[in-house]
Amino acid sequence: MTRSDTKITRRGVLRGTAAGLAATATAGVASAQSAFGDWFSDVSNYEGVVDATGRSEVTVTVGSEANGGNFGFDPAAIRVDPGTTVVWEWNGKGGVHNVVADDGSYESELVAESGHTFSRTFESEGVSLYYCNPHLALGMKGAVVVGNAASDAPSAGTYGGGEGAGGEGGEGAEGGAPEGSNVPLVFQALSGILAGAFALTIGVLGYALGRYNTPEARGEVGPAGAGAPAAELEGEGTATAGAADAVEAAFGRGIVRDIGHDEFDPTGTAALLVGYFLILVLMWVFMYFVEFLGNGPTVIG
Amino acid sequence: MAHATRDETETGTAASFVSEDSETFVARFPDAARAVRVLFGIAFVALAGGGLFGVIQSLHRTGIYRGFMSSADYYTALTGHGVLMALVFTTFFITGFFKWAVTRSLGQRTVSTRFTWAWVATMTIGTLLATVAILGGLFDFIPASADVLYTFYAPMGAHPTFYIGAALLIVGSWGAGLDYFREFWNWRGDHPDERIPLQTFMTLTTMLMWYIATLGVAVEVVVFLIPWSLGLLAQVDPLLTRTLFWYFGHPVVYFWLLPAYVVWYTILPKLAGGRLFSDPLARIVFVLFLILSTPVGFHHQYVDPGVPEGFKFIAMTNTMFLLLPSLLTAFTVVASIEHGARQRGGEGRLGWLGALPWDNPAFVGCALAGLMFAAGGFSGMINAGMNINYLVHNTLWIPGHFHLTVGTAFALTAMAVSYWLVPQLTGKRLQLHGLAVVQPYLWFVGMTLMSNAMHRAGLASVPRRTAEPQYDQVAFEGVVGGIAEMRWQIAIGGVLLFVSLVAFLAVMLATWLGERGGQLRVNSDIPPALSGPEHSPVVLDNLRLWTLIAVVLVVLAYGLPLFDMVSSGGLFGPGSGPIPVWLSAWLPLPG
Amino acid sequence: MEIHIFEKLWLGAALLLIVGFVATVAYGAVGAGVQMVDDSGGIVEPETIANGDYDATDQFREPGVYRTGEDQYEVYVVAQQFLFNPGTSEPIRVPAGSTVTLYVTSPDVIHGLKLVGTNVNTMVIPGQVAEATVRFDEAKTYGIICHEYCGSAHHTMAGQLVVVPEDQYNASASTMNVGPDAAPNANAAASVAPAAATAGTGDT
Repeated sequence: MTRSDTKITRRGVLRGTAAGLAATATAGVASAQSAFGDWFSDVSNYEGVVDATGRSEVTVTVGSEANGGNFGFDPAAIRVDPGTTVVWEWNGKGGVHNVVADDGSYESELVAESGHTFSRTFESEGVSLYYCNPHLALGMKGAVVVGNAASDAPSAGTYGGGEGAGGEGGEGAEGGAPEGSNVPLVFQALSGILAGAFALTIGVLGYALGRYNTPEARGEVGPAGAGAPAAELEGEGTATAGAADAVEAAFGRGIVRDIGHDEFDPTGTAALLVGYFLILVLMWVFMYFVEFLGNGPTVIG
Repeated sequence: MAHATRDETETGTAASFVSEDSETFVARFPDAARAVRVLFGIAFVALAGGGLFGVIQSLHRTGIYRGFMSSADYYTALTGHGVLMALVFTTFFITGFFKWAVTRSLGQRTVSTRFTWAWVATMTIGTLLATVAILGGLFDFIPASADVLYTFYAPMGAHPTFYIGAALLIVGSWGAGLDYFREFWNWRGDHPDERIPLQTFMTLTTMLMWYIATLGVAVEVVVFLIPWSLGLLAQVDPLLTRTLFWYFGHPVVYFWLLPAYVVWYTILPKLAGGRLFSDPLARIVFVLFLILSTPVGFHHQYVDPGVPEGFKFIAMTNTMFLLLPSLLTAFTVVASIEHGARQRGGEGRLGWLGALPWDNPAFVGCALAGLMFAAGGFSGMINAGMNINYLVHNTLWIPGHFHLTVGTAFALTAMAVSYWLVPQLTGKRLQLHGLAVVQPYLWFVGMTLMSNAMHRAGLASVPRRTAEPQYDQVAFEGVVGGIAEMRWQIAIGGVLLFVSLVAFLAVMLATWLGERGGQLRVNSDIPPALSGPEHSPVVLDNLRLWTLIAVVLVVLAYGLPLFDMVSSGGLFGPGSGPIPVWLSAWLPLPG
Repeated sequence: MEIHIFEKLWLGAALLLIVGFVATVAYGAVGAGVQMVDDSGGIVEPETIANGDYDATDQFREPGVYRTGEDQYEVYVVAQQFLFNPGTSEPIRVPAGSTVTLYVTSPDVIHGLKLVGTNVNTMVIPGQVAEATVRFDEAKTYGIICHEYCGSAHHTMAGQLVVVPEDQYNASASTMNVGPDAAPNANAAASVAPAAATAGTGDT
């Protein structure tokens, strides 16, 4: 059972997510290689196939800096001669990793320790795709190209013995190139239009409402006994005078009568709170007995 | 004593509340006003940054638009959103607001401006350090990162500057509390027998609660996480550090809520045209919060292994009783608003609602915030219900809940009171008044859409704190409504909230850039309460007594569990070294 | 001190509500038998799990499904960055009508584990073993998600738990040990043997 199906399905789901405006956010470096399908499309430290031919043993670092953390194989893709032994060596970073063949033909232990190794000798020509299970979704993938297979894959220099070729600190930031580069043009245009529409709306709204005159500026009912309406507060720098304005100022505007402590019974409040109480009780009963206790398996011990 | 601004003991007709001195706050207390302006300014900048991250998140996780950043970077945005909104915006705004409240209600100038600037500077430096560390997750040239979210659970490790910055922010806020106490002691010397003015009383009780609460996170960060991130400590126990965080993590929400209550109790009645229904009840509520806020932290750890069920049950009962002061607040605040409506001519059982000043942005924001809090309170009751917590823990229900509470009850009230307060702090008229009127309604609509969808998605088990909650192996079924429709509501709601936020910032900016002088439309004359403090027992003002009781309750609630944890694995174990979330190690890691 | 009569009534109503909530929760605990995850799972050093050193601890064993009785199963799950073992590469399989106890821990950071659409929900904290007993009555497939941020690929961390109809449950094929040492096509019979040999309790 290969992992390729699941992987592609997951990414396929990501691309076609939810409402039509969904835009993919998967990191993209180089465009898909026909030799590897789109195996390396979300691998930040892939730059081509490193030539490691002419050796009997090649080491690949597990846990190199890539994909937003220490989630890389270094080199990500190597070319070896048939009969070469590939030794994967853990560098202790990035948590637990393993090496799992996409076609299921080999699998290492799931380990975090620095210095741990896993080896495999590749006899026959071909391309062996592999990945790290916990970090597959992050792009921790690699390939071993044996012999002359995948001759159309781009080359990325010669194997330098350990670190060096490709990957190391190449992209730095997680995800590599900014996601905007993968967003289809139509979505970028759409979001630009939306942003423009919002800005225009706010601008127009702000302008129109900025000139709105509140009732108090248009004149308003004054406090009982004061007679005159509130002074024109829209005037520039004119000092207002009179007890009427001061009283108004103390209460805010619009007072028509004075209610003292002994004259006030908050009946409206009582009515509102009775309603609130009933809503609380009903919602609680619904939530507890229908939603919670009726919600399937529950922890009983 | 020329003002009717402090809580006078007279009751009587409106005409006796004439304010003889109509100077604005900035004219009377320029130093305090300057400090508050700076604090508000930083708060609004944090709000802008946090809001930008927020709208990006709402589009990203719903799958509507993922072009702003990768999913790995989403967690940087999430950390930025949480820290800037829930730690920076809140703390700066609150300390500024309290500075205004204490200065105004005591009526005296700042004791030591140097001290004031010292704590403001400490908080600012801490914020800068932490923010730079967080932004390092987005920009390569910053050799640090802190993608650990605002709860920074070990053993995920952030760069040391993140922890140091957070510690400085907290220490600065301690300085703020001391500032308010110094003002109070100064005033007390001249007024030995008077009741503490209500706004100062509320400020002091809140800060006392804050001192008790921050002890947990201060120990966590200073004793454990900073040395650990620097490589001086080999390992920390994740359960212990997490418990210390949540010791702080619940009362911090009251640190956010109580200032909103200060607004609703002392300013909102006047905005509505009325008077506070009962001063003594307000004092009782704040005393209850001082006592009960901290010994409830385990309700954030209901499904944690390693914590015995008995402690969880105690936390549950404590939390349920903590509902009481909020329910009492509902009564007093609504009654005060009703008083105002009736003074404005409102009639009928419910008809008075129409007589309220729905075109006054300060009033509207506070009223809608209070209304939304009633709903948020309910989802909080569910969260508190120990076993029903299984249904909602770490699902999208949780952010649905707290966007109603800190996101609206606090944030919208802060914005609303800014419309009323910033003119008085600057001496400038509020500009773009019409936009200001619309802004709270827009926030309310946006939040209704986003939060209701979050709640329902949470019931379907959609997780929180996740960049792409769409999985191959898992299908979510909506309980009420479909998943796709919920996603759209979250995205649209998030965008509306962002638009509303931009509107608020536009009003603030325009006001700041406006001209000084001229007649303001607001002042800080606050009429005395219908039932004043003279009718309440003096023991309510005995802050030492209540603090003592609070400390005893905390020791009872946390003493045994912490002892249990430490004895079963030691102070540092079972545990591990930091698992870094940074791009390139800046300091050598242990082991 | 005078308190308005409405306020007194509301105070009484509020206290009633609070007591009602506490009573409901207590009913859930005592009547409906819902129990909270607690410290009964014990403690295990994260390093032990990271190295796969399961013989060194009494509190945990090799990840997999173990049959411990007539309808009793124990499932040992390791939640790590960014997979559940078992659960992600192979679904956890248990038969319908069984009582399953999950033991979950982590070798690295804090994770979460939730069975989507159910009340099975726990935090997974390195150093602690979370123990949760659940009864699965009907055959169904449940998704497992990690709901606590655990790193940059947190959103990929998911798995499945399949409750198989009783007659279709092939014990030898389903009680697979999917631990790190097992080759992909592990002979499942080998892992049934240890369960039978240590019937009832899980110690070696």
